[in-house]
Amino acid sequence: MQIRLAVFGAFRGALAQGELEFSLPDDARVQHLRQALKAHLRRLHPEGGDDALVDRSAFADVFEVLDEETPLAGRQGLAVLPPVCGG
Amino acid sequence: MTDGLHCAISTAPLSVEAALRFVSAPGNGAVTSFIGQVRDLNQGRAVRGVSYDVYDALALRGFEQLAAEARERWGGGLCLWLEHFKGRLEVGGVSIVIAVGSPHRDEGFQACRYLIEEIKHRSPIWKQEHYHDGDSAWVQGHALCRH
Repeated sequence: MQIRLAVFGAFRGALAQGELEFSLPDDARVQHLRQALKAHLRRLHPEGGDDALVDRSAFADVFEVLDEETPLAGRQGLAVLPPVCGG
Repeated sequence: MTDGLHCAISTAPLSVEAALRFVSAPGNGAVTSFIGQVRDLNQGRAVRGVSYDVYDALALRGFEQLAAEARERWGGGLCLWLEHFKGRLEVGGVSIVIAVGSPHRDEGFQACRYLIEEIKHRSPIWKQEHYHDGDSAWVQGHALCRH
């Protein structure tokens, strides 16, 4: 299945277009999307440095923050959320 | 905007006056507010402005959830205004306005403090500081978890 992933905050520097698309198995879960994002960033920046940010980030859909075991199929508005600092 | 609750993400300048009007009511003897502004110095660096990035839909759901939590703790009759700016602000610009209308001051102060602290830790909002030397950096924040 095709997964569209919105990016925010610190990820906008590396991924200026604001959205990524991944091709993942139909039964993929959040943990697989996390690994796919890491691999994508390593291809963009072979010198590294983004894995720690991905590890500290959450994944969410339009309704809630998701845990690692959450299946991705049917989720709307998937996004990767780096550490937050509003206010 | 329903039932004494206003939650918004705005790209227009925030209005403190509108917030105070909204939470005022004949039964509210207290109006408490928190206004966040862009500061000119952070960790020793001279700040020129801040850009705010927001996942709007999730942030709004979070604001509504926090409002429900505040009402559960300090009373269902609280009138609440939660509005956050999205976009770029210069020093002195208003980034967030929280206002609480309540019968008495104690629950107003507590609810207002609760809302700003929880927004800082739980809302999908990010800020990028712009410095006088031309550099910019995303501010280190709090990792999100499920609530």
